[in-house]
Amino acid sequence: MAAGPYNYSYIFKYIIIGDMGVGKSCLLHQFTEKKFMADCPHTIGVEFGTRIIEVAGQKIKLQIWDTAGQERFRAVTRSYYRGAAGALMVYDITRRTTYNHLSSWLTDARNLTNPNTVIFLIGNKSDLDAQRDVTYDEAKQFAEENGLMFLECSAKTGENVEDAFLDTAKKIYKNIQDGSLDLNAAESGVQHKPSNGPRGANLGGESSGNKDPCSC
Amino acid sequence: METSFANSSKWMTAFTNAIRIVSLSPVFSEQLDEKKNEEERKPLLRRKSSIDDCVLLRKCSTDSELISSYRDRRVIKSNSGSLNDLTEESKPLLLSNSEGIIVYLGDGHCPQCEEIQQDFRHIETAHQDAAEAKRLKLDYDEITPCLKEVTKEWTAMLSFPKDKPIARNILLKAVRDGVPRKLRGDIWQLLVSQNKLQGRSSITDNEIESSWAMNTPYYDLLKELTTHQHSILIDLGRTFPAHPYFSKNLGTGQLALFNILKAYSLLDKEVGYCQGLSFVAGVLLMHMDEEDAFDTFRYLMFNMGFRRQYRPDMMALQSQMYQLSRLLHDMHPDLHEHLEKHQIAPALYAAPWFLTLFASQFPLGFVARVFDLILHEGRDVVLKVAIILLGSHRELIKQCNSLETIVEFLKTTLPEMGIIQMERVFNQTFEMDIARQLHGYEIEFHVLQEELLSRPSKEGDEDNTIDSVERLHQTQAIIKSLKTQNLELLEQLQNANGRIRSLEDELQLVYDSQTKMKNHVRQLELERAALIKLTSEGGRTDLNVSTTITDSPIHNPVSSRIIYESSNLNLNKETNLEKHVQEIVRKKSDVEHPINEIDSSNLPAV
Repeated sequence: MAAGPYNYSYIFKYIIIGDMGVGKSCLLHQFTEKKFMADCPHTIGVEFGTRIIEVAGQKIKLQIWDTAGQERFRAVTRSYYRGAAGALMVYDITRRTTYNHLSSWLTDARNLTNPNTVIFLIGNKSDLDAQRDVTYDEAKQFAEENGLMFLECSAKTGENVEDAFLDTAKKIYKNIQDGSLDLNAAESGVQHKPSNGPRGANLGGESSGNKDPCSC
Repeated sequence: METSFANSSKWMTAFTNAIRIVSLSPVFSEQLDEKKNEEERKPLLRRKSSIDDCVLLRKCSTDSELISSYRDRRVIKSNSGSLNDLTEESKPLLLSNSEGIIVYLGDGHCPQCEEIQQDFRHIETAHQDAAEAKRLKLDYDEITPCLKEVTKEWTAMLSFPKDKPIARNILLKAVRDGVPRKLRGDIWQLLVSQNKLQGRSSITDNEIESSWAMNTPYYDLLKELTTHQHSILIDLGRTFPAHPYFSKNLGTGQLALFNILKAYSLLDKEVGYCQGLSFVAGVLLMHMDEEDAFDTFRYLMFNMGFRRQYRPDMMALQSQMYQLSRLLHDMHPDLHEHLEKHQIAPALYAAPWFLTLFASQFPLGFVARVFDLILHEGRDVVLKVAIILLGSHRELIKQCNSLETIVEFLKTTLPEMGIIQMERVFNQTFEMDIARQLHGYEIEFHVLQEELLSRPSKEGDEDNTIDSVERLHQTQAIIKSLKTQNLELLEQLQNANGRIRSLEDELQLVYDSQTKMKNHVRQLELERAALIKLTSEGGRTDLNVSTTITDSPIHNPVSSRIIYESSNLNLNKETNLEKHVQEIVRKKSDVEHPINEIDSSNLPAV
């Protein structure tokens, strides 16, 4: 753990959404722990994970909210969409229905986040190519039509998982740099933590950042 | 032959012993043959050499099945094969046919012995598997370990006729003292049937045809198809994934779980399948067989009202989260503030507590104990346990200083608390009564919800003039503040009512003691008069005094001065008491005054 008040200069808030069983929690686990969780219980409500990454020499803490996939849980998870800088929208390449539901997830994401939220489409389970039910090309086309970033990943092998999370962060960072994302706007999903000050601008969980583990 | 029998298991011995009893008992043999013809109805012992003497047993896979076959007289005679003389001392020999296993007492040769032994080995293995499965299912640490006497009590209660009501306090005491793991499934069913007997199973959801729900046979439901099949299948492997009974892909545990969830989704079309349900059904399956587990599951959902939190709008779940937040605010304001500061709402940690009844995160011993309490007491237990868990870890939670560490603590560290601490949680749960608060907060939640719904959506009609929009906003602001006021007034009313009740009690007490004091004073005055009379008569003898005031509690003439003073004292006390009463009456009217105001000020304008 770094010595300064913060060992990162930004917090980006992400949400992961998509149908049940597409592998949202496994993607998160693969990204934060770098391993595949085979016996992962299903998510009830909302879960949460963090990891510090580096983009253009800046340390950024990703604060990732993993949501339950069943339709009715949206009543509970919707409030976590607010103030997300990045949204990872996941489907399962071996189950077409999960792909067909994307438009409904997208509508939710667009309505409940801000216009600058970076939405990244992930086709998970790319290791199961033999059981593929959705082609790469059609998903790619869907992504382009809707202005989404897109990758096929595997939470099992780890393929492209890192890239999906990092590319989203790069895009958000770029939006900050070119001024299209206003850090002072409410619900930007980004918190700036100047390394010399104790508290950054606005929002997104007042997490005072010190990653000291609880002494309990 | 003999060696192989010598090698056979304990179960095998029990089996053959049972048969020995059966086949050597003339009485039994006669009973057995009740419906058979006269020729066959001869006591076994008298016809030792006949093939008719052997008994054919249904194939039994467990001890209990064997015993119940014996009780139900499903033991029948066979008349095939060739046998030597039967004697009491004979070694058992077995024969099998398509119907089952023939057991007789003899030592002759048997061509099918190999096959039979194999058969037995299978049965034995199946039996061991069943025992192993039961052991696996119940492999957890008990929270309140049961003393032998308590287990005895439970065993006695379990043997009562099913329609015999057991007093609530006896059941409560037994639940408090602990529930033995091995009897837990039976005890849960006992608690359910007792709740039903005592009319504690009020079905609250009118919109469901509850009688249909309660009466459709399980196996009829299993024949149908459910639209939720896919969702259920997805979650099967993700329910207790580390538990040996459920870990095997489409193994016994998963299949039973699938059946229950499928049947339920057909029974309750509104709820269907909701994530979280599989954990609840899973806990039941660990303790009882599939059909009983389904009945208990159905009872929890419909009769105890748990189904409401799984409805598609999840309003009841949100209402519970609101209740938890309010309770936290009332009981542990510092902790509430700490969590608020870090933007941690109950949705973040309590959703799995509510929807899986703690089963997805807590050790099974803890979960089983929660179920004990729920099945005895009802749904409030969940909120009680939640608030006690938070309260008892207040200081540790407050030491966590970020969103991450707090969430991590609540999700991982909290469920790992020690057994003694868990026991303390349950002890507190038994003591707690929050029914009134919960009811109040539920109403509050719905009032707030209505307010939210009455707000127009964000995308207002752009054709509206700014003026009318502004007016709308103003009206809304007024409505909002009125509603808040109403809520506050409601709360005040409740508090005031409580206060009145306690004041009335106090008043009654004071009145009572006043009457007592008055009586006492009267008595003392009489005494005093008698004593004064006595002193004025001066010359009289002590003997006379004692006759005059024998009734008095104090009859020593020497202490008359003291008595005089003390009676004065009592008079003072009486005046004080009267003052006190007046004070209370005044307080009461003070309290009642605002209530009258509240009553008259057109309460909620909802």
